[in-house]
This record gives sequence, structure tokens and C-alpha cells, in this order.
Amino acid sequence: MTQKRSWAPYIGLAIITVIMFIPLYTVFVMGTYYSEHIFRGGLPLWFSNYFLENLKVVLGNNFIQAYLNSLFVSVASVLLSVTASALMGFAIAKYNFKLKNFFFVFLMITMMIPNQITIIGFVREMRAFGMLGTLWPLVFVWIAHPFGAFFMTQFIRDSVPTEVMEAARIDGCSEPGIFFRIVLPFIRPALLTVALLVFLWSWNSFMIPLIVINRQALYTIPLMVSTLSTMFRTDYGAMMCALSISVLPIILVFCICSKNFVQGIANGAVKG
Amino acid sequence: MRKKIPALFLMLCLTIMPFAGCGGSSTGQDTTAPAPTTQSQPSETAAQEAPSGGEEITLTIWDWDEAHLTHMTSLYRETNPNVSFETLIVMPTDFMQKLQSALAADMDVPDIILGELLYRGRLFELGILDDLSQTPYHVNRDEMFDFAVQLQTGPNGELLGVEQQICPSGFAYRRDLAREYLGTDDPDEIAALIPTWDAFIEQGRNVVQKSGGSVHIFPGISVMVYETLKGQKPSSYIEGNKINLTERYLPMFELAARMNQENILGNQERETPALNSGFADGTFLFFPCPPWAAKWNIAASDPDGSGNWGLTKAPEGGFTRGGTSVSIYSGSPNKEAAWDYVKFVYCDGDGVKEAFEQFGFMTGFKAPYQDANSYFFTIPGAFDEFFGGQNLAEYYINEISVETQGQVQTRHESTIHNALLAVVAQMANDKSITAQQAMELLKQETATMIPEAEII
Repeated sequence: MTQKRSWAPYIGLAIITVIMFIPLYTVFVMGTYYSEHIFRGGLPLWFSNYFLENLKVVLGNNFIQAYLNSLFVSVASVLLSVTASALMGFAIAKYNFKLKNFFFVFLMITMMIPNQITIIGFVREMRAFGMLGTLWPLVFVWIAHPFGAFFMTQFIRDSVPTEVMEAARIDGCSEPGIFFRIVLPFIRPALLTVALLVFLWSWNSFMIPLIVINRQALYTIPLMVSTLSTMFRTDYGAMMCALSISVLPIILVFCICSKNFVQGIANGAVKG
Repeated sequence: MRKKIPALFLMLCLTIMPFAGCGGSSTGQDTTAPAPTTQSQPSETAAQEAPSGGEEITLTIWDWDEAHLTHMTSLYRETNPNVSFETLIVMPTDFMQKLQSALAADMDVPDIILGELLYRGRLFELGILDDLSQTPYHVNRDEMFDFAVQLQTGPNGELLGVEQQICPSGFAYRRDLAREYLGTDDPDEIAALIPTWDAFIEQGRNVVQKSGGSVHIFPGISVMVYETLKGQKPSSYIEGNKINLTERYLPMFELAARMNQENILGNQERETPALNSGFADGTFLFFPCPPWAAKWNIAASDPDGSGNWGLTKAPEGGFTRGGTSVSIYSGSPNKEAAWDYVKFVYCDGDGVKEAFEQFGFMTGFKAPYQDANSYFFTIPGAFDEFFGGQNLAEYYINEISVETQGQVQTRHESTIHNALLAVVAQMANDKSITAQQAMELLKQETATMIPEAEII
């Protein structure tokens, strides 16, 4: 007896996919228009011939430099944030030490403090370290990443069997060895999830670069895009062109990590 | 011991954590810590600092007009090679947040601070700007236009800035539409057709009727209220926390509600793509135009419209629209050099002529205009050709500036601007709102934003 396949869910999914894709598609389409022509007679649905002119405007505004700056900030942020978050999560989830509960509560409290409140203290701290005038403050802000540490704590607590760690200890494995050789393979989905989120957040971050960066050569993409407009005229065409190009790495990273990302979110969210 | 390493790392990270923001937000809201509020005193030491005596000096400037900034700083360096510049492009919408953060964090604050009208009232009340009428600057108010003095006056009567370029406004108009709907494209004849707002409304009806509703006399209610009427008849309606909104804004709302209900205004509201495209599309006849708007609004939005624009007077006199103040940071270690640059570019230096020729900027000081053979009147301005060969500088100075007054900017004034924007947004959506209803809305919005205010 053969089971009749229903196409309804696929049609529904296809419709939802199209609806979700339209805004992104519109960004790409708008990037090919002269700004004042974009909104004539509703949003355009097909590409125009002004892309190269918009690209010229974008490239003329130091886009390549801003792109490299953003890339450096995001990649460095991901590497350092994921490492720090995993170590913090490992410590809280699997070790017993004095004030452990206090630190865990403190971790959660820091997640609840709006970043606008802490930004001045952070800028002063970076100034004291002599980091202003460099891109490092935009990276360091992600090292002490409370959400990453909390997420890792939950994930490691639930996904890494303590018995496996004990077995490794009995076999003579060092504590760093346990972390790198035993724990990390278990938490790969969580690492990729935090990596993707940090990449996304640091790539799109506007407020901290706005406040910290005081040199044009250090502008990241969001700051550079904001200078494409003037007080009196918004060059939507050039802005959309810049955004189209800038969003590509995020799409690429998500495509690579999507399977693990979904798994990481599901594991971190459901298991209690 | 090995077990303690991750724990020690954790403790170190947690120690740093409170100082770190999450960085995911980009709200652009002005939520940073407040800046110092002590009113600065004019510095006696500035005059003793070496401005251009060979000592290497670096001046920091944040601006949003990159072309002007780059050109003028390069020009200044030709005669002052010891002065270098650290420039940064910052949009006016982000300027106050960045400035307040820099002040609070005690990091690099610009030596020269720009104050767009959007936030000037708040900037002036921070108490971080030098009084330019005092030592070592000695700017004489009588040498500036009246409206310029009013727009640059601080909360305690100080002169806190000079005009980047003057902002008395008339109406820019499309010559082809003017010929079609008004029967002439001559500035004086058009001014004679709209001497009062009543006459303007009458002409507005004619334009709508003749065009079948495809063309309007003005883009929209927010452009009319916020960009035009607000700047026309200023008064001292704010005294401390006592704010007489009724006296200041009821006549304006009566006029605006009439225009709204008579349907003579279009639907192209300020800062929208529809407005930008309207310049080239020819869907409205007049647009409020200070000197800077020739470049930023008209030429930028209608690049193919050269020769098709003109400038005339607004009904019942000139008004101010926008404008930017140029001030000296009271904590600057390079005050004299900063002032030397400001004088060169904005007051009476060689840069004034260059800024006019290259960018159409017009100084807020009267002296250059008092000679009939001044370069302002004899050399074609940067946008004269775009305006059909009309001598814009002469028209602005002799026809518009003489009768224009400016509104003194305070912290409350800036807040009321925001409240006003909320009200005009509602008027744009609901054309049946009466003047009294708009007035009540403005009072409610203002009371919410300034709870301590006594509003009349």
C-alpha cells in the first residue's frame, strides 16, 4: 500500500520562503537604481542599469577599507569570543569552585544591563589601555560576552557527559586536554551558533563603532554606509548597493553553518 | 592547580564584563551619559597659545559635508602648513550622541564643533562652547545679520557660534510650472502674486484646479509647517520652564490647518523618497529654499534641472530654515588656531570667497555685502546658473535677509521641534485636524517631553 504524498506543506513552505526572500531581493534590486527613481510607482521588482554608478559612489567612499575593517573585527571577535565563552561555560558547568554560583548569577545580571549604560565605562577602559585609535575595542567588546558564556554553560552542562571527562582523567588526560580533545567536539553546534551570532552582531554593530572610532580609515561598513547619505538627501541606491555587497559574507557564513546553527539553538533551548 | 586555570580565566573575564556593551543595538538614541553642564568661561589663555608660529598643531573637526571640509582644510594648509587636520564625517543625526559620549568618556572632542539646528539648542546648553564675543575672539554682534545673532545666541545671552552659511529662506520654484500655472517665471512678478498667505492659498487652489490635482503648490504639510512657517515669525515664547506655545504656534496652525483642509498641499513629506523624486517629477511648484538648499535639496534631487529653477520671496517675508553654527570647544588646547581657521573659512578670511565660489556658502557677517561691487554680487555663485542665471546672493541679501528674524535656540526649543514633528505627522495623516486640535496635540507632546514645563 503506497502512502499518498501531500504537496500542501511544500507549497506552504515555498510561499513562506518567497515572502521571507522578497525584502532581501528588494535590497539587491534597489541597489541597481538611481535613488530618485526607486520610489516612482511603487517598489521596483526588476533590476535597473544604474548599478555601476552606485558601485562607483560606494567604492569612492572608502568601501574596500571599511569592508576589510569589518572583516577583521568580525573574524577576530568570533575567534576570541567563542574561545572565551567556551572556557567560561566549561568552568561554570563542569567545575566546582568558591563563588561559582555568585559568578553565574553575576553573568546573568550582566546580560540584563543595557549596553548604552556600560558604553562610557568601556570607552574609558579602552582609553586607559591605549586602545582608542585602533579597531581592538570593537573586538574586545565581544570577548566578555555574557550571552555567549551563558549559552555555553547551558550547552556544556547538558551535552557533555561528566563520565567521559572522568574517563579521560583516569587515562591521564590534562584539564586543557579534556577541554580541547573531549569537550570541544561535543559542543561543536554551540560553538558555531555563538560564532554565527557574534559574526552577525559585530558585522552590523553601529553604536559602539560610532562612539569609539574617530578616524575615517577605521570606519566599519555600517558607519561607512551612514556617510553615503547627507543630512538632506538619502542616496538609497548607493546605500542598498553597499548593503547588498556587505550582506554577502553573512549569507555565506550562515549557509556554511546553518545546519549546526539550528541544532545549536535547538539543543541550547530545549534541554533543561 | 590545572583545574583552577579555567576558573581563573572565568574570573578574569567576569571582571571585565561589566564594562562591556553587547554591541548589537543600533538604535541611534541619545542615551549616553550626560555631558558636563558647567557653563564655560571665555579662556584668557587661548590668545597666549601659539596658533601659527611654526608649532605643529592638529585641529580635530567633525563635519557631514566632506567636500567642503576637505577643500577648505586643504586651502587653509596652503598658508598654514604647520596646522594639520583630523577630520571625521559624522551625520547630524549621530552628532550629539558621539559628542556627548566623547565628553563623558573624556576622549577626543573636536576643537571646532558644528551645531545643526536639529540639536543646536541642546548643544548650546551643554556649556562646552566659548562665548565668541569675549576674549580672545571679540566678535562684534553688530557685524552679523540680526537673524544670525539670534540663531547663535546661547541660554545666557552668549554668542556661541558663527554661521557656517546663512539660512534666510525664500521659495525656490520650477520655472516651467510657474509659467504654466502662474503665467510668469519672473521672481518679482511671482512675489507680487503671493504677497500674503491668503494669496498663496488662492494660488494653491488655482494650481490644483488647473492641473487636475497632479500638481500642488507645495510638497506637503510637514514641509510647510516644519521647514517654513516655524521659521518665519519667531518670538521669545520660552522663559525658563514657562512656555507660551499658544502665542507662538496657534497662528501657524490656523494657517496650516486651512491649507490642509483646502487640499492645496501635496503628499510629499519631509525627508521622504517621494519628496526627493518630486523635484524632478514636477509635482510641486514651490519649495522652501535657504542658500544651502540650492545644493543639497534642489540640485542634488533634480540633477537634470539646471536652468529650470528660480528663487522668489515667501509670503509675508523671509524665514530661516536649518543652518549650522560653528563654535569653539571650551576645552580645546588649540583655541587660537581653531578660531583662526573659523575666521578664515566663515568670517572674513580668504576662505569666505572660496567657499562662496566653490560651494555657494554665504557668510553671516554683513561687511562683504555692503559693497555693491562685492564678489558676492559680481561673481556668479555656484548655483546661479542652475537657477536660470539669477543672482542668488543678491536676492538673498537684498530681498530676503533684510526682513528675516531668527529664533533663539534653547534646550526646550529643540524638544519642541521634536514635539512639532509628531504633530505634523498626525496632520499629514488626518487632514481634518483643526488648529485647536493641533495645538492641544502639541501641548500634550511637549508636556510629555518636558514634564517640568508650565505650558500655556
